[in-house]
Amino acid sequence: MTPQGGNPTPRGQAVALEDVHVELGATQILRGASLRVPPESTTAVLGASGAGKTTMLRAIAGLVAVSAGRVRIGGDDVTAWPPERRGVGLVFQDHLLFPHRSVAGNVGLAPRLAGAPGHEVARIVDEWLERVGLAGFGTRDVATLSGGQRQRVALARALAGRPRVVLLDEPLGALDVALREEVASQLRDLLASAAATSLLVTHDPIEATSLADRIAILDGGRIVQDGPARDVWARPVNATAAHLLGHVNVVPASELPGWGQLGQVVVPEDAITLHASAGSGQAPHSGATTASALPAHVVQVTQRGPVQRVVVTLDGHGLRLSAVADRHRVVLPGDPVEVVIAREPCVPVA
Amino acid sequence: MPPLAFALVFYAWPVGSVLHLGLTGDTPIGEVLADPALRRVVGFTAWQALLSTAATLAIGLPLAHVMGRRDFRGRKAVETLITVPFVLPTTVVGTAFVLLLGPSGPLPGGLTLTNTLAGVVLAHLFFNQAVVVRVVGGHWARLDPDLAGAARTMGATRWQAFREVTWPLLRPAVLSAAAIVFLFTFTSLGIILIVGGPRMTTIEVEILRQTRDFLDLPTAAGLALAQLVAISGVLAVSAGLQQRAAVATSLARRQARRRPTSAGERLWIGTNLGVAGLLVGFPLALLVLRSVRLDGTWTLAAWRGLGTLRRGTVLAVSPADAVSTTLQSAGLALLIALPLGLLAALVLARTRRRAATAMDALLTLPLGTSAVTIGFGFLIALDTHPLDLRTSPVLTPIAHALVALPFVIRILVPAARAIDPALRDVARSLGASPLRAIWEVDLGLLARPLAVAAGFAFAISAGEFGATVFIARPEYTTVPVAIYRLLGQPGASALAQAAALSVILLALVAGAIGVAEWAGRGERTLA
Repeated sequence: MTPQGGNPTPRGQAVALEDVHVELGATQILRGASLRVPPESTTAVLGASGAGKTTMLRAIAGLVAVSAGRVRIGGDDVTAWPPERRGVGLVFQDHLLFPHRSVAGNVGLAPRLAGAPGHEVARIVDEWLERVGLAGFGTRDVATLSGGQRQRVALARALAGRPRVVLLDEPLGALDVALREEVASQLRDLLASAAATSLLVTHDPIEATSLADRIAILDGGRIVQDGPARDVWARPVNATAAHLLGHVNVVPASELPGWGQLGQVVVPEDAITLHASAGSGQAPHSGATTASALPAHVVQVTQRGPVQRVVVTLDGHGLRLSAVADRHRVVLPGDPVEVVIAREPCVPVA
Repeated sequence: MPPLAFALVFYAWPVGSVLHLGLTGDTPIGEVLADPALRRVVGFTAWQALLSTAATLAIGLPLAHVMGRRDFRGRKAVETLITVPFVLPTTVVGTAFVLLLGPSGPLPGGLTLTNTLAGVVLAHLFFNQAVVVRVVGGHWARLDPDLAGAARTMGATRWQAFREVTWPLLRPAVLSAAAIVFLFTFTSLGIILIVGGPRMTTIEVEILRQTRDFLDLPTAAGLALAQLVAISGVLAVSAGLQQRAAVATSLARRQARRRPTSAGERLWIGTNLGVAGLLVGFPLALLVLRSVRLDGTWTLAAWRGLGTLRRGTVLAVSPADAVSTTLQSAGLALLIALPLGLLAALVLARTRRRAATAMDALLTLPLGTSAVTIGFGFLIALDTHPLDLRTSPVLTPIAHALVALPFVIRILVPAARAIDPALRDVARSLGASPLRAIWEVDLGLLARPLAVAAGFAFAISAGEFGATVFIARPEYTTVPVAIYRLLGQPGASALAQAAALSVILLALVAGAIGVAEWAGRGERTLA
């Protein structure tokens, strides 16, 4: 046991949810969620909207009551602790800056509540504003800030209390696409330098992978999968997880040769190679045998940034697959192609 | 502009005459305020208003928390019950509290609180807690609970989070509710006269007395001027405080009201609702009960007697005639206030020019002017041809329309603003003339708010007391005035009859507002 209400240890500590249940009114939001976040790591929880992502953060912060199960931070069972003793910094999705306080008043609240004298509070505020790149913004009214600035004030406010755990609710969600990349890398550096244990929730696989080293999948009120980001992406445990991770091709196994009759198969876009159809007179693109090649037609071609995305339908059963095409090839809707699916990256799911 | 002309003739001129008389009369305002007796009146007026405001906040703020932050079965019904007193005529409330606090009342140990400051404060509390609950509770319900939650995660205890976050954000609403309650109780007339008794004197009472009993118009005008200054002062100070406290609050994204989660929270809700139920329900129930119970037996005597003129009383007409007068004058007030309010609202909704703002202010001023001042102004200003209306039966409805107009406009303007002007163009393109387009589009879309406004105008007129007691001639006695006169008479039967008349007035007002709310329910939303 740590001393009650004592100074939280500044270094990040492990967070664990053990079979956590949360009900809001008559609705069950979390139904036995379990997750371990290793100290000083960043974990992203991916879930559809309404899956209970925010509720999970609120349960860790102590803002919503847990009806069964345990929440642990470091060695402490904090399930029954009030929010102010947990040592958690929460960055709300829409920031929720205090509208009646200046930027400094927002960032300085936690140190002030901890009893720091005025000059010390001012020093901490300056330090954190500097670290989030807002030096000199202390006297500003929060209503005058841009979206990106609010985001950084919210982050500084959460970190200025030296929390054991930082919780972030869709941290890039409110930002313009143009800003996201930049903020993502700053945020990564900041969390690393604060040596905090971070848990973020999002529905966006790109946000998750650009910020976190570990990914967990929240589905049906439970964590159905978690692990290092690369492993989780490569081996989704079910169709929902595959969709959340950004996989487009989740197809019935019976539609693909060699995958049996049951369940579904996740076919990563980069597992698919498109060859010019034999009938078109061009030579096959690679040395792959045409034995496993499936005849198909192009239905849609879209350019996404540097990538050319091609949607094809397999002849005979109308199955649609999305693939990434060679940038030098010109593919047009209606073209006949042959589809070769590499077996190794594909994953059968329930 | 008819609304502007109406406001100029029936507000600016009469009230201006009072001010003029107060500033230039034989007893100038300085002299009025130098008189120690009158200074005591001013001091007492402020003191009782301050006490009443403090008591209302003490009961209203916890209740505002329960209504704004907690969800429970029957919350909507409780909300309605709590709001009922606010729309009740002061004479009805006065009667209920005379029955409750008087010598024959149900208080334990024969405790009598009529003719005491405590009784007045209680009646004011009954009246005004709805202001605090609606204004503060409504604000509280829109405050995102996560703001306090954010402070909690930063190490604030429940109390610290309230002090650091919730209270500063709530303060503008509390200030505004307190200012409203202070103004209402500062200018309260019926409650002071009825519950406070003959020896309790506030500025409002003193104006009435100086005019009616001593015919000392200059002193009355001086007092009215002093009161106007005080009211303006309170409004200015509260506006200043609110301005300083005002912040752009983030609105709740989620339902701010939640069900209680612990026995302590349920006890908190239960206690507050119990207090509110007792405060609101008990006097009203007593009112109905006492109208059918006389000298320990059940009887309808008080009701049967309503049709007959009581001999040897100050009442010049039978109570039944008073009901008929009230119905007529309320109907007439409605017919004056509704078209004027509609015209004003259509103009205010479409222009934001300075002239429109000025008109808006002028039409709102009667809200902040005491009813007695308006009645007094009518008396001294409307005495020359062709506007010698002092003996006319339309005088009362005009005064009532003036008081109701700000409410009508406040109800109609937001609805009129929400009408997309392009809809009128659509009607024009389909072949409607300009007037026809307004008829088809604006009036069609404003039908429901108009019904709501009509209900309020009728209810306000039916319950109006302060101006009416000043200007209504004996043969045009309205129900509130009749109740007041009956309460001034000795005897249990007069009291029972006042109770019966109060029940009738209560039913009239509640009926008008009920019908209005029913007609206005599910207001159309416009994209």
